[in-house]
Amino acid sequence: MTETVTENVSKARTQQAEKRSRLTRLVTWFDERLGLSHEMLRPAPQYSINPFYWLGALAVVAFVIQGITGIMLALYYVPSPTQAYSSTLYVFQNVSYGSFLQTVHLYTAYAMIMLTFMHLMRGYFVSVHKKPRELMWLVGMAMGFVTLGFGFTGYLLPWTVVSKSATDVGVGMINALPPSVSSFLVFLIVGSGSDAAEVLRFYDLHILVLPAALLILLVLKMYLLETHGVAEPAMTELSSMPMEKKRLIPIFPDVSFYLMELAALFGAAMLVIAAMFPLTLPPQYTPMAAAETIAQPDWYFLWIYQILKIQIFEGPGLPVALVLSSLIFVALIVLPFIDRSQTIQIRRRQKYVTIGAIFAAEVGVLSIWGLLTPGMVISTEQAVLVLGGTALLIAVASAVMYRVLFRGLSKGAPPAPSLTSPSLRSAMLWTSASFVFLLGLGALAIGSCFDSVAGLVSGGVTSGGLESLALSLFGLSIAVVGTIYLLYRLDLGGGSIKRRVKALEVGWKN
Amino acid sequence: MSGQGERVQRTLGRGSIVPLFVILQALVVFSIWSLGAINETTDRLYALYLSVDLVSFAAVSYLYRVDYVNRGLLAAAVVMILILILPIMFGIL
Repeated sequence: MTETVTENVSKARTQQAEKRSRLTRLVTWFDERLGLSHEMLRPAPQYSINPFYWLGALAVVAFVIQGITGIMLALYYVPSPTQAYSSTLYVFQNVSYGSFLQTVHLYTAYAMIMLTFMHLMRGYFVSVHKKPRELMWLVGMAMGFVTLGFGFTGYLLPWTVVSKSATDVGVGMINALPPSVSSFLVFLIVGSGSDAAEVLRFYDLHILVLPAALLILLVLKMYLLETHGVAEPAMTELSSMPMEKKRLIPIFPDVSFYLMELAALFGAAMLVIAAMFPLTLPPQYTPMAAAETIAQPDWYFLWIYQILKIQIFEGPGLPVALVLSSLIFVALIVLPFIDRSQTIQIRRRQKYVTIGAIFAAEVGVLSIWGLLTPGMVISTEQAVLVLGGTALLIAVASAVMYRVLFRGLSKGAPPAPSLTSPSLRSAMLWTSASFVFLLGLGALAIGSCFDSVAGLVSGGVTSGGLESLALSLFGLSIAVVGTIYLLYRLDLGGGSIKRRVKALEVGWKN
Repeated sequence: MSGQGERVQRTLGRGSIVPLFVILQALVVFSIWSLGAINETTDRLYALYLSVDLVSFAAVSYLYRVDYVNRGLLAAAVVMILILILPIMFGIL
């Protein structure tokens, strides 16, 4: 009798095992051989299942797409001044999906640069540069420079009038540096100085030196990430976070599958954008065509270029502008050694958060301004007004936000409630997004107002100038009214504005 | 690993959503192979097919990964796929 029961149980188990899906068996097959579920890599906390924690990983995905599309393009590309353009045009016109490949390659490069910048700014705001992650920050900065190097070297390769003119401007700026520095950099970038040497040097840097450097840095970064793990959250105290959020989850399958989802969605977005806005190749570079073209770098260098276009930095002032621009990067590099406090919570780092927000806003304003004013010299007064206005606006907005959102913390009040409730998190997200939108609109409107007034003063009163001014003032008024309304909504919980209004107004009825 | 197996079983037992996504992926891959001539339209078709494939893959991966499915996210994936498929079906390219 006992034997029959045992046999039945055994049969049932066998049948159950047979019923296991093929996917399970496939996963098991790999797991038994690779040991993926044995925590080969440090597990990550549940709270890291959030896209903002993996912006760097998405930049790596963009790099991989760049590699794949780049290898395909390299099969046809000829790095010489006489054939660079024609070989690129050949890919556009004769190679299957060649135009699509070029478009995806370019747009993914843009996405990689944007993701790297977002990763940098997020890292700054959530204090990933602090002990013990200083080296991670430095490696990340080096990766950022390599990414910009990809952009700079890749831009020249099609040998279009736009790309060659912009590269000439960039190389020309290097000549303004002290001779010992400039001669080394010029030799590194353009070799003997001929067009043939320049395009070959750029090509070698783009497909050999920079990818190798990025891969080495990536391995180093991964090693440091494995050593230190994912950074603690900066919006919520870890102690007030529910256990479920702090639970450690294995890299395989949880985190790796999550990353695959993000990568797939990112890839899909890139493909759709490439399909909607296919690239067209600008005309070929010739000295005559270059003379008729306004040289302008690609968008990710526009903010630096816009600084260099300020009147005070023209001519002999150029080295000063270059030194000032370089100081921004130096400050970012040495940040872990300047900001040494162990506080990572955003609500306790008002000074650094405000400085970071001003930096990000100035980069955005300068880039858009540069896009709107190609080749135009910016008067010093206008630059001071726009850049100062933006900084002031952000500083005031930051002060108000800290007062409204994190009120009372400095006086030893209990910490703010943890953002665990989905509705509260959603409200925070919408509020932050609204503030960012309104601040962006306000900064743009201020810049546009100054631009319109300057235009009216210098060029006389025209209907176009007045329309532009009216539009700018309208945008500014929307930003101001929207900000006041948002602040009022935020304050409803505390009720201090409501009480003040009630005290002042007669007939207020609650 | 037995826990892993149970998890896969549990996820796959949620209905026939996963096989549907997999069938969809197979269909779009077949459609990609059917594309021939080089022009802007086929470029777009290729991009849309591949996007549908990637979104379906993300949905399958999500269904496999989570213990509790967020129906909103799943609905968003389905809407995304529909948005990508509609221009192909109606020839708006």
